[in-house]
Amino acid sequence: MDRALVDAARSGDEEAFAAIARGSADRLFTVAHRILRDVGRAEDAVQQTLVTAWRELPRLRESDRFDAWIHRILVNACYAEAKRVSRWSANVVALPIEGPATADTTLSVEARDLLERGFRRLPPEQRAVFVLHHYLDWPLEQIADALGIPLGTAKSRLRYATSTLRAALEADARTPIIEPRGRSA
Amino acid sequence: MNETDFRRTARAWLEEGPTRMADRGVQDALDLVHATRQRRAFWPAWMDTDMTIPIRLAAGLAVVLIAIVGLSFLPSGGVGAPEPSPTPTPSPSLPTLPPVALALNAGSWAAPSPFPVPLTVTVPNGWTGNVGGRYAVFLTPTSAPGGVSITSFSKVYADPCHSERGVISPTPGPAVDDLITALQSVPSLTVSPVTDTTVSGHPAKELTIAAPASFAGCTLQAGTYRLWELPLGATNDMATGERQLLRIVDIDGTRYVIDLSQPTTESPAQRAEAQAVMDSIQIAP
Repeated sequence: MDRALVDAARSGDEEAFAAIARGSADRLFTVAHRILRDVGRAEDAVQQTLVTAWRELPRLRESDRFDAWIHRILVNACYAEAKRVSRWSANVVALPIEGPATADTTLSVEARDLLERGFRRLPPEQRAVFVLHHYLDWPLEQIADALGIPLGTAKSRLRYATSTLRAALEADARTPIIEPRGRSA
Repeated sequence: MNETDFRRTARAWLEEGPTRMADRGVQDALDLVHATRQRRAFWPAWMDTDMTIPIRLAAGLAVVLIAIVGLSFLPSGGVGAPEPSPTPTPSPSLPTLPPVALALNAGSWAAPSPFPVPLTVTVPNGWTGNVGGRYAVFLTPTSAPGGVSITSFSKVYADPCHSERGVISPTPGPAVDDLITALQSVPSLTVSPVTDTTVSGHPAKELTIAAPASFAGCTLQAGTYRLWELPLGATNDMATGERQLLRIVDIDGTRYVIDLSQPTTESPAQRAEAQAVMDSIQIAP
């Protein structure tokens, strides 16, 4: 992230913050979607992240830590979104905005289904570490630093997530998973 | 499956899915940013994780002291309360509910445009809320089940136990009694006697609906006991044994349902808190 933009936004420059937001929204959305597995919830998490980042930006001491800082806010927003109980469901089938997703044709439908079911059983804390590690390729030290957790905690969350998903791939359990969400009329 | 195979499989799976956020979503966030003031720089900076425990404790203590001193000088809106939006509201002095679900400071909030009714509500700490377009206001406790909503809709499912059978046809009429009659016709729903009440002086009807204690035998399309649907597709889904207290009111020819969800997992304190939020709703004449 451009340090000058971060400094300007920290000083209250809304245009600078808008440039930051537009430049980082897709990446934040992609991570949030992988954690939450829901387009609407991911969008809500990113919106909450951007508003929180703007409000808290003057408290960020080191501009070059912006990327880690905003990912911590994002992950916390994902936790809140995942835990928020809502009886409202949105009947929205989300489609990729830019053409089809980059599906790996070697991934079987069955493996995809088993991973999805296994992942939805994970608590959000384990999901976040798994996504940051396997999707963003962040080393565990960087994840622990960004999320403000001990390295051992990051390691154990990744270990539990990995063992759960490996077990899911090797099992044939087919428990239905239901996740209500809501809030657009 | 060895470690390499697992990593490759997990990576391939994670790479699937959307990679672009809708421009509208970003713009909504920037609109909120425009209405949100930044925290003062004198608040403690984001703490680096390499701080030692004693330093963290000292810093935490400093935060508390600063908060205690600082809060006594802050206006009643509290830290982080959004400033009034430029859209017309029934109470220009009140902050307006955001378009996405965000944590609300304790106090009174107004529903801004596009929600067409001049509505205010008071929430305690620990609630989130938003205006869901022109058809809904949602208020939800952050760490408890239940919540309060104010919605306008016509579609009622003929049988929530078998929602694949669709909505009641023809659609119930626009009157308060039309909706009550429709709810009374839903086979698996328990509907209490209806009583007269008022909402900010507007004549209204009050009743309680209850879902069955078990969904055994239901087909539950999408896994939910689906009772009604808003114009843009959001649906009101009930859990087993859940009760909902409804106040149905007509405002200038449009029917609104003020709905207090009372799931079985709610504690008495949580229920009382949600009831207070419902009772605080005011609709200007």
